Amino acid sequence: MSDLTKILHVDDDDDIRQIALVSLEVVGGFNVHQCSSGKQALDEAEAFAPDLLLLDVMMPEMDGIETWQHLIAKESLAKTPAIFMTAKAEDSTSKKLLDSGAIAVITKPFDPMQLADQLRKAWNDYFAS
Amino acid sequence: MEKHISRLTVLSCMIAGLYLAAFYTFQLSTSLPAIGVSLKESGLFNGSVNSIWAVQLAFLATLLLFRNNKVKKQTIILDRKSKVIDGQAQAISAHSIVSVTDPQAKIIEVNEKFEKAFGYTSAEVIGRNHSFLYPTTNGTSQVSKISSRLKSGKTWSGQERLLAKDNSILIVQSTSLPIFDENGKHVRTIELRTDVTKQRRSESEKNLASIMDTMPEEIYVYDPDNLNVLYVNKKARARLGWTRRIALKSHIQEAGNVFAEMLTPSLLETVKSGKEPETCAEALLDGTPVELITRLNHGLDGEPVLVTFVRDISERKHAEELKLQSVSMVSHELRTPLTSIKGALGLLKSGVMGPLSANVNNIVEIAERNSNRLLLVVNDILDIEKLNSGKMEFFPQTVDLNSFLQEATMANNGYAVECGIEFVLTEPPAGSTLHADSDRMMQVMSNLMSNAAKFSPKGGKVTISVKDMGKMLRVSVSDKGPGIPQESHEKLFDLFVQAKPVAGKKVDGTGLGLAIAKKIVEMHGGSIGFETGPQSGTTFYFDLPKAGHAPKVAEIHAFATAAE
Repeated sequence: MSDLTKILHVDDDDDIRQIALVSLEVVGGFNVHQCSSGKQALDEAEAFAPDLLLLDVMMPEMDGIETWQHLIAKESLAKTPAIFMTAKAEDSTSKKLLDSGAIAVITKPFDPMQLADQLRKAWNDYFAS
Repeated sequence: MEKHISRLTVLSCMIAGLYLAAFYTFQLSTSLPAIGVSLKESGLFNGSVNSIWAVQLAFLATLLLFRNNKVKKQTIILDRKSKVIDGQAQAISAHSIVSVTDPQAKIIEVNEKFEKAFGYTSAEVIGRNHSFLYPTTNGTSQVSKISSRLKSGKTWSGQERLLAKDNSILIVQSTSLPIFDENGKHVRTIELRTDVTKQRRSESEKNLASIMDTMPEEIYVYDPDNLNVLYVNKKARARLGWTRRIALKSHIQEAGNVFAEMLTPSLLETVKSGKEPETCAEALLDGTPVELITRLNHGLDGEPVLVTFVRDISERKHAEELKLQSVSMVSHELRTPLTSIKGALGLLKSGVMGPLSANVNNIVEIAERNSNRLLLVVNDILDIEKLNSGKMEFFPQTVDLNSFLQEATMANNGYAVECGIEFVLTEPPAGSTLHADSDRMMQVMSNLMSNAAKFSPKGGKVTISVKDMGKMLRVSVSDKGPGIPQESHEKLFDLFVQAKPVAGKKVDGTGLGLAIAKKIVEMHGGSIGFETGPQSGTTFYFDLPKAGHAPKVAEIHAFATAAE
């Protein structure tokens, strides 16, 4: 298991991206690359070569799930674990995502001081199992 | 002159009468020698000696003869009339319920029909005021109303509902006839009644059946003991392809699997015992979501019957679905900006963006507290909507209460710190396990524990304990707070209701938490309640079936998902 250092964060909301950036970079100490759409992520993901994908579920044009499917279809990203963030609080949404292979689902609003720890824990649990 | 003529006329008539009398007496003495001989022998009559006596006697005898004949004729007529009246009385008595009362409405006499119809012996009713036959408390006033009409000499007629000895209702057509003596005094009343109960019931049944045939719901009436069908309405017959005759030969479970699934022995017991006035279940009937409402009724003959209404709820389900989607969308739209607000405030407060002065920190805390409150409202509204529409998902599993409550104590420790209290967990009895959705039950615990913390005095203790109740386990959360005012008790579990503040203690909340907790507990087949007092504090508790006694969550979940 390698260390978790590089995170690709995809979210269409500018404000949330800013908050998450502080949480992950300043509080968590990660190397973060952010995209505002699924399309941008598909263009830039391979070059960034992330350890972890952090994807918002509900996005216009291409939602988080579709973005994920396209990303892991790329050979270099096929084994990159994904964590989803969603403002939809339904259990069924979380269950579907976990059943599809996501390693964790974080419900919005997230705690900016806890976000980095949540990702690390999910990462460690995933590789420990 | 006229006066003289008149007197003369009278005198002439008298002489003529005497002459005729003498003539007839003579005739009588010759035609009835026995009388003549005896009269002569007696010395009272001697044709030549005492003619005046003879005339008088003859006259009297003639009168007697006439009178005798007349009496004989009248007796014959009376006999005939008496026979007719006797016959009529027998016919009335055979046909009607007859009672005779005195002017004070006390029963003097009743016939056999009366005894049979009301179930009383004549000895039981004679001497009683007949107001006891009226089922309502105004029996006395009804009797006096009729009495005053009878006293005025009028007959009373009308339909009455009277009470038999076994408390069954008799519908009778009554006629009351007042009887007066020769002085015009009301001496008694004869009541003639005809039992029209069956006739009225039959009419009512027909009316009822025709009304039920127009209902949009399927209606099933069946015997609670053997579940044989007694009636199904047109809508149900159309779906099943049954005629009325086929329906009467059928068993309720032949009307669809939903009946077999719904009519479990425990449900039948619950309904028949009257523990619950009606039960409601949702199911799919030929692919259509339906609601089955079953209740115990009494038929027109007083016998208990089970009635199930099957209502198509597809439109309601669709509307609920749309409503839930709307609420879900609103919830999502609110959560997104809240994520930024809460995130920004959290980062500011943490100091990672640079140190804050005490004043700024205070303002940031206010903003953060209220954004948390807003988030709570959003979450609660979404939860209550999901619960109401049956879309709250449950994932039941075996829950060890000891570890579950330890986790609850840790998870809610923030409330303890915030309110300056301590959560104290009393170790549950060994082997205390539930079959429940632990996340949902954690939601219930959070609600009860946060409430207890908020209402406790600083430095106080909130105790969490478990009691074995046989098939159930009771989890209690007890505080030493001011108690809940009496006026808040009844509506405490209603939506958007908060207990009135006590001793100026204002507590934040959405007013939805307890309503959600109640729904969640009930969805697990349990119940929630509280005990409170101004001195003793408040204990909220919920009773849930022990693991192995709780199939209900799965059933409800199955219903909820089946209806989707």
